[in-house]
Amino acid sequence: MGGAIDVDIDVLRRLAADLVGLAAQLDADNKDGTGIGDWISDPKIRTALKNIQHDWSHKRGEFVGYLKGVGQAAQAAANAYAQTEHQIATAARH
Amino acid sequence: MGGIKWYEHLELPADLVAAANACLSVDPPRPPGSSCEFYAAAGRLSLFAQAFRDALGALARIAADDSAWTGEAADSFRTVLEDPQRTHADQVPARYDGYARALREYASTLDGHQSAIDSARAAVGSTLDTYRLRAAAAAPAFPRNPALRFPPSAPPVGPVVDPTFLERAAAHDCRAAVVRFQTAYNAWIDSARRCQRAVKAVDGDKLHNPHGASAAGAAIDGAFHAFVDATADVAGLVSTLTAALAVLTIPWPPAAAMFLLVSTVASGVQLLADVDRKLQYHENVSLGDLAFDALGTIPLAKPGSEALKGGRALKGAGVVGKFRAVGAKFATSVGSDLRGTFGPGAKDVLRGLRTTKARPDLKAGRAAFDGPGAAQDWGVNAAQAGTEAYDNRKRGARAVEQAAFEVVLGPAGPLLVGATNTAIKNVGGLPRLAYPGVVP
Repeated sequence: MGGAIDVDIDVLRRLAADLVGLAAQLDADNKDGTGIGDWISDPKIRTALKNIQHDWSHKRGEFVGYLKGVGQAAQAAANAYAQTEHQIATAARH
Repeated sequence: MGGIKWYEHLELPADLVAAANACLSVDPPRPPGSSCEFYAAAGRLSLFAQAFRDALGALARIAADDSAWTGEAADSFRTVLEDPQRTHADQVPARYDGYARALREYASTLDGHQSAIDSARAAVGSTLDTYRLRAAAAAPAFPRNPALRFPPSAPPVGPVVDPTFLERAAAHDCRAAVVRFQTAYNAWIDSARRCQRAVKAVDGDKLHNPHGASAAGAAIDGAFHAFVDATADVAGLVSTLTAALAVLTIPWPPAAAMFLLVSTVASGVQLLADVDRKLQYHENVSLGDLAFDALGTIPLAKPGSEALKGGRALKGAGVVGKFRAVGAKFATSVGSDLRGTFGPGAKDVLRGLRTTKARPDLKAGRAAFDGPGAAQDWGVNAAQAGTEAYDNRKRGARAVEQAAFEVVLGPAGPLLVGATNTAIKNVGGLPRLAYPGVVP
């Protein structure tokens, strides 16, 4: 199936990295030691933040999975485009 | 995870020394943390919110038809993208911004609270010390006996200065410092509670886990979801089974008509369940599934609406009468739809039913089981029904039918046989099914 291909591989790579990074940060924001609550030394405000962060653990888990999946898909696409370009460039030289 | 541990206002006892000591020993003695740390945390949260917003924007641009990324791979990639409004992912940045706003607002007051409390604490400490000194000075070192003079020859004289004056003045200062500390401390408590409330208010979006009434709702929803899945599966099984049986029992027209009816009803149930799975639970129900469900319901699509009309027309009638009338109208429509759907051929079949003996042609039915594969599995119940019916053949046609329906339909037998009888009656002159106690 033919069709025009118009893609900025670097932008796609950056997006993939951003998405995976966001997923990792979203995941870490509720873990002991790295969570948002741990950024605050006030014990009661820390507890409030931890409670509220915990209170959307289900949705956050879904988003982490989604961002990871989309990020990996974007990364795979960027790699495939880059490899194709490399192969075409190599073939053109010979 | 427990609830929020709210900061509590400082309440003081009436006794001055006890109140001053309460100020000096209150926990925490001063607002914990620093404004820098709160500002830093707020900054990180805002950055994350913006990064998340940017990522959603980038994905939305890819999802849009006018995206710069085109081609087959781009189209495939778009299929995995979810609508952030539907999943509520678009509320994540607002949540992080909410945290950041709460922390930033608190940070803006923290330095002032800390210095006010530190200063008030120092005042309480110094005024309490003064008060203690003055109180000790005003109190006699030992009890005086006014009857004894010292030196014994000296004339009695009154005090030049009231020895309690300085003590009372120190007490006044100390009380003022205590009140000032309490005011400063509770002003900080107000700010801290405002921050806690602001953090908690962020949870008012659609991201939070189900809890309380929501949890009960979610549990019911989960159970209902499971029920919908099970209903779709069971209805699908019943629909397929009865459709197969309807074909297999064509040599025995009354059973074929009933199986067709059961198959159609089951297809309707499955269609509704699959639509619910698709729309409410976003399950992977293909359009093909829905199309096949819908196909199976064709004979009863119109009767369903006719039954509803019948129900509305019977407003005010007794419950039993209502159900009978609705059932009769429903059944009449079944007959007309069966004729309408299958055309003149169906009419011939239906006409032929009038002269058909209500006895199964087991040889004809058995031939259909000779093929390999799943049809044999689907037909196990039919075979058992046939055996039971054959065993009861000497008890007459009604006993044969009753045995067959008991095996195939189990507890649902009376209801379905009754409905089918009514349908057959309305088609006109067909042999009735004999399940006892069902047909009046």
